[in-house]
Amino acid sequence: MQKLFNYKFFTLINIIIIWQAIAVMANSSDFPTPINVIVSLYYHTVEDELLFHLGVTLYRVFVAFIFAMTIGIFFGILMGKYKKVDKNLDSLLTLGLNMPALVTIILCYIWFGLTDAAAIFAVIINKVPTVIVTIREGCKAVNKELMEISKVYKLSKYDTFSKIYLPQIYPYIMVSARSGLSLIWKIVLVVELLGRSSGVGFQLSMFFQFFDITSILAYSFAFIIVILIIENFILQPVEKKVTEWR
Amino acid sequence: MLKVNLQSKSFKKQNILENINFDVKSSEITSIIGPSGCGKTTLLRIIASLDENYIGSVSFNDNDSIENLGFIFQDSRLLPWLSVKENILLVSKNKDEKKIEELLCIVGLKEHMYSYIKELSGGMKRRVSIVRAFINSPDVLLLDEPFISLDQPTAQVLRKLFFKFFSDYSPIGLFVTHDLDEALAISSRILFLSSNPSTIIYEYKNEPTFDKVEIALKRDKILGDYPSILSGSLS
Repeated sequence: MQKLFNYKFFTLINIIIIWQAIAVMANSSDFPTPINVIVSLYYHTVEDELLFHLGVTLYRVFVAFIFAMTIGIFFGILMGKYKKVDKNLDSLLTLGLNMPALVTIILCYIWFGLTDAAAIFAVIINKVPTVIVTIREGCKAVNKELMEISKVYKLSKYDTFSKIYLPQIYPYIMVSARSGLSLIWKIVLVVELLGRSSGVGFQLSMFFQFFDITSILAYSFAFIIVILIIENFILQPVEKKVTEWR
Repeated sequence: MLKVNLQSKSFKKQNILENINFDVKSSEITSIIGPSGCGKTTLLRIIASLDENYIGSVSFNDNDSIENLGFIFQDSRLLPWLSVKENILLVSKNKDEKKIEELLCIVGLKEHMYSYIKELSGGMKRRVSIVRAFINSPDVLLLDEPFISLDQPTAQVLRKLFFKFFSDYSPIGLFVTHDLDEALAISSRILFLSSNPSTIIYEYKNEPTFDKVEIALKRDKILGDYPSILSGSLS
């Protein structure tokens, strides 16, 4: 673990050194040095509203993530378990998977107004189909022989679901959670850029108008750091815990 | 008493089991021997209500289904995400943890109570499935070649262990095997099946014994009388 961390750290340092060298050679405001970006990050954090906007975006990511995962897991299990439901909803799922995110966002803003609810709803609609597909595949791969244990020993529905069925689809839930988090925060930024007056996406659009590349990179960094912390200190440990039997 | 009256069971429009009728009394092990693929496992699955697509009836004490059943599968079939103890606790009706620990102690798995299944050897897994099958003191116990693919010494230890449990709990036992010596060691009756479709062709009353010489004599006698009986033919 320590070794892996050292490798990651070493790679990061190398990237920063190369970046610094190229930025110094380019000598352009469109390509700031990493030191400038760090100074900007410090300024926006301490003197400006970075923490507020970061908080707002994280709140939207969190709500959209919870709803998308819950709805996706529910319908994924239904479609994976019952062929009739799968047949009936499959074309709707294909539509959802192929609908461009931008179209959903614009339609939600037009139909429901430029509100937080519409923004979050648009993100959920974009993410749910991919969760469903992953979970459905997980349910189809459930080991039927293990399910027979439940029938032989007359287990309750709760025990059958929680102790035999669900553990088999945990890996699929974790895959969709991790890919879900990365997809959701990207869509949230687009949603904020298009129709909100707060959040990291909104701030990025402001900086874009002023060609303030340093601030754009500073905000991006702040957000990426937070997502990496969530990924490394929440999602990965949870995944390790639920799959430690492997 | 377990009554099996199976008229027919077909698969892809072909009869695989036909006219299989027998009763098994309490504290008696009946072995079922037949050639590979003759439908022995299917017969057990029908009795366990895992396969309901057949013509006939299975009843236990005049009930259509067996409420308290134990099943030792060929492949152990333990849940890899649960520990040894949790695997047994899951199926235990009164969740008596002390009893589980006691039984695990008897089968020599006290040290592995909290181990995951991947940490166990093949023999250890079979021990866990034996404990799991007996934990509810079952009325009927079904065994589908439970000692297959184990080395002989391990299989012998497990047979004795199983026999001890069986004597303590006295359920009705139905034991599917292709090993005549194994059937002679633990069962009081052996049903020989034919194939395509399977039906009972011969019934042998037996006195269970672990004495190798006695088993060899009985085996030689049966095979002397019916040389092709293990291939499903009396000729």
